[in-house]
Amino acid sequence: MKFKKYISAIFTALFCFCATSAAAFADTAENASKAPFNVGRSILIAVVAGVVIALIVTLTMKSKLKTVRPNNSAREFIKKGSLDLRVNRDTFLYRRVERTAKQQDTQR
Amino acid sequence: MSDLQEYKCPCCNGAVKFDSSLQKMKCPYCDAEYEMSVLQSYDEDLNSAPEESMEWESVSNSDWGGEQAEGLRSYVCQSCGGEIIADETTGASECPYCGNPVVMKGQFSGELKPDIVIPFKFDKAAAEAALKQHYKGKKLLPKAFRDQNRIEEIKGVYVPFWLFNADADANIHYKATKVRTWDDGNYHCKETSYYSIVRAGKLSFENVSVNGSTKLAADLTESVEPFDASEAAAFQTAFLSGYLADKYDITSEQSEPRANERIKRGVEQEFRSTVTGYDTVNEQNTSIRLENGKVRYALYPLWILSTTWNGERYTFAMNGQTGKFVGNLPMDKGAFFRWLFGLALGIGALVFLLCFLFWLI
Repeated sequence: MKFKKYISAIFTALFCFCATSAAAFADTAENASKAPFNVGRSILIAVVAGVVIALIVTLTMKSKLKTVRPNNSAREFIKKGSLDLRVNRDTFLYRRVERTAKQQDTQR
Repeated sequence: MSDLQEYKCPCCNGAVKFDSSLQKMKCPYCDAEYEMSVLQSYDEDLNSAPEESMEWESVSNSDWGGEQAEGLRSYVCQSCGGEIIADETTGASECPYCGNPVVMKGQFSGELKPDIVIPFKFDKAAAEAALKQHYKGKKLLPKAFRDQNRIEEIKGVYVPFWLFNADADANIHYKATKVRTWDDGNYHCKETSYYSIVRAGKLSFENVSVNGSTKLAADLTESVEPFDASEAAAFQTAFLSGYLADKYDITSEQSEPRANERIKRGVEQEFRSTVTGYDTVNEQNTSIRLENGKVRYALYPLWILSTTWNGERYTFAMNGQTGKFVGNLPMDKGAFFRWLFGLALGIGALVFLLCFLFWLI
């Protein structure tokens, strides 16, 4: 349990260090020619990605606790090799084409 | 004639039970082993329907009231003379006084005789080990549940099932599309092709099982499927010795809607799997007809484990033939949010670092 707290603290410190370093580094002369590093946007992307991925992982862990489910299909009771298709027909009906004009970028 | 059947060892007269590891009858007192056929003679009197007996033995100093007695039956243990009270569907049990396994003859005789039975292959120790294994890897399981939890009850039960065999003749129509996109100069182009699809044919189903007892939830019994009916044996009451067993209280007619629903869904899924290569597929019309329908009555083995924690009852089940173990577990909400926060923070830090590295490049 303590180990997990340490890991959590390390990741928090890493996050803050990255944000601070990025902001400081972005101000150096070497990177003056580039567009400045957008710390705010990067933090937003990081937070959204972090929450979404963390939710996926924790909800997957939660679903493993529930193993009792009704089995609504009898597919596993199908006699092997018993499928006999007497009609197997795919018929083309019609085609529709949609064309959408691309947005033109106008430079002023 | 007694309503109970007890299997006595010809060697020492102890109560023999079915041993799942040997797949034979074994005496726990003298270790003598017997093939099932040796005890077949015990079943001779099952060929004729038993005499109905609704006599109630009055318990000393008290009488069962009309409502209390409803649904209960009373038997007398042949070994110790103790009174065994069981509900009207109980087919095998043990004497609460001397622990001898008993089989209620009338419950599985005549028209009530099961067609097949799948013997137990896993014993009680395997069920307990499976429960411990079930707890492993569950990071959100409360630690207190794992450490302090005691199993209150483990019982090997032969559960009544109705097995449905049928040939399904189906005719299914679908509408499907294929989509193609490309850029053409100043335009985004999207071409959608529409198709009409027909699949018609036959499909056979074997041993589609439907729970025949109200004592166990249907979703619990369906979760431990499948059972391999090819390993089933012709029914003999000797298989029940040492285990609990119930006769059905849901009839085959009452089970038909569930069987039909499962077969219909199975047909739809199997036919749908033959429609490939499309971006979207929608079912338009389904027609399914069942032919050559047959129903059989079977007893399938299940280990049922129960426990109570924080006022809630948790029931686990293990397939007595395959060892498949299921059971819902509680969740530690604190652990859930700790994992969520910790992962969000860690992944967020990594993504931020990646954004910075991309900017550098």
